[in-house]
Amino acid sequence: MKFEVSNLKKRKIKDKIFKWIFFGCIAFCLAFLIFLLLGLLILGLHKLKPHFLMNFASRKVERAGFLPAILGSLWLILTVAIVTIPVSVGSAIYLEQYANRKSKFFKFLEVNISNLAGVPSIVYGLLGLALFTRVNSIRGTVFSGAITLSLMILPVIIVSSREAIKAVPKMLIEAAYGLGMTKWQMIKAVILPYAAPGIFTGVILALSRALGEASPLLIVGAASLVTKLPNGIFSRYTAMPIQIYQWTSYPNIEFQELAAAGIIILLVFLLSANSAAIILRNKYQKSK
Amino acid sequence: MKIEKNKLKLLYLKEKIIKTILLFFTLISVITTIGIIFSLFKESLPFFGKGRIFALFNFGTLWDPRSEHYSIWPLFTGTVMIVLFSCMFAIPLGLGSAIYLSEYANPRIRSILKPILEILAGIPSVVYGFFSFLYVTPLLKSNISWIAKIALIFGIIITIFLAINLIKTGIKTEKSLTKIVYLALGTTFSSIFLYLTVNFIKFFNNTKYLEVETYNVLSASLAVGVMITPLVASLSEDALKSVPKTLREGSLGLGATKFETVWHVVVPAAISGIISSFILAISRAIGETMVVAMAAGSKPVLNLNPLGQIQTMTGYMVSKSFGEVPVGSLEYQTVFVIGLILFFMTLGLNILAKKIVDVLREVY
Repeated sequence: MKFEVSNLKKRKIKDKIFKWIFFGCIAFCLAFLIFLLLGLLILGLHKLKPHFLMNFASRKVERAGFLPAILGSLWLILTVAIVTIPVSVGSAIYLEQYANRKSKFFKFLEVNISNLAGVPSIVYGLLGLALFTRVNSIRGTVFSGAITLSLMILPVIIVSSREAIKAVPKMLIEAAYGLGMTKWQMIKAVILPYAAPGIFTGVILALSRALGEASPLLIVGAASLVTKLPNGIFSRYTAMPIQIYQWTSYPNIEFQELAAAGIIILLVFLLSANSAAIILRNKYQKSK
Repeated sequence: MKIEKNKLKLLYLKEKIIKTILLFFTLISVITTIGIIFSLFKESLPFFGKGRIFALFNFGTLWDPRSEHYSIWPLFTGTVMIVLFSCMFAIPLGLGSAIYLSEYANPRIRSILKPILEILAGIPSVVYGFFSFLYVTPLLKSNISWIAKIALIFGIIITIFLAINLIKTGIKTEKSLTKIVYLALGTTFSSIFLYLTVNFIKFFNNTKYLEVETYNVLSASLAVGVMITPLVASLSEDALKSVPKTLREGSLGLGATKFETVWHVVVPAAISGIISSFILAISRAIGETMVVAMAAGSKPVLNLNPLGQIQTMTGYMVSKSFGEVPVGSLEYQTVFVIGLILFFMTLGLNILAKKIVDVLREVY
């Protein structure tokens, strides 16, 4: 590189241009986001009427509703939360507090979890398909979908929970031991309360990912048309992303509007969950 | 005192039980891995008999198990095209955003801009698919001729730029092997440049005959690209942030402009993290399903035109499962065969991404 005064002007102009190019990259993302949200609102807002929220899906546009999909998604997420939270937080605690860090087994567990986090969601769908498809009473039920989604988000929550547990100050842990606590008492009294906000941020983000995921559910076999509301984990169900995908596959523009309305509702769920997570995280970072 | 002792014993027992339970929870992830590999192999193994394993990798232009066309190439090229074009959007967008956020933005602007990427990352892929099918494709259809013209001019500029720079560095380097690689790449780009310039008028006029199909690779790739941009941006930003301040200050102190500092000092110092973010983005784009299924079409025929429709590996899997494929049938097996290949492709890329960080990272 030549640093002569004569080319200083040129270099300064180049500097300015690239600053705007870098800004342009993020501005493009913002423009895309605004375009996407506006497009959805224009298309779907007028379909958002009370009966849309109260009705079943139907081949007739004016009677079609989103209720079974909403309830199905809620059943799914509830089951996923009940299954994943204890398992993933438990394994995060084991990895951080109990496991021998120098052992080969620990290294293997770490590599295994980070690789699992990179497996595409559709492959989890195949696992669910292979597990449940031969059992008629489970196929296409909330249970099969929820287990599939749980396995999918398990590594994600384990990674984020470990980060939260790592952030607990050593001082507090040693003080607890000094009081004569056993390991589990220490975990209950110190680690869990201290790491809770961090853990819950990770859990919320992972659950909202599960809420919007369609491909594994399509593979495991969510019902395409539901005539009864789901009333337990062994009932058939449809979920919000599945219903949206269904509507988009019809050529009629009215169904596209229904899909847009469905997406608006899905996004309301997701964005409120995400902003809750962000607020929780900011509070947590400030208090530290 | 005896009661106390019993209490302690009970306490220790409880500790042991809890430890075992937690260990069991941890083992669930191991069981998941074994389950994935076992089920993929078990369900796809019957397919490989009768010489079909050779048919799978034979070159062919059609994938259709029903009519016994078992060549995976159409699906594979579909996936590769989606990856190529989506990374063409995601890599510059993600890296540019990361550089802006970590080097240029002050904390206030950062706190406004950063959530944009977080929201983009939180939007489900069904939404991206819907949007690209309903909005991006019509936009592309009506504007394709001038988009193609701009792309042509842009392509000419980029190829000549790359050619000149590569040949320049090629001449400067001393190792003979790298010299050959640089010079070979330089000549390739310059010949592309020559080809484009010689035929410029012909190509320029032909852009008005371009036609965009209702389902096409390009609009799906744009959506996939924007979708994986946050991944590239956040990982690259982490890498850029971990470069120590002293390096930047040294460079600025020597009189380099901000851009020169960023481009010649900070980015090279963070290159391991940046490249691994690119590879993870590729792996994500390979596994992306819903956008591709909704906007890129479902035609498993070999096609290299980005304005035409294709089917990717993931797209094929989703298209089959919806049609209630009978368990154990040949089509059921093919879904698992594709899944097996997909699994090992992404696994390989993820391991590569980690290796690159280990090998290239410089600790400060």
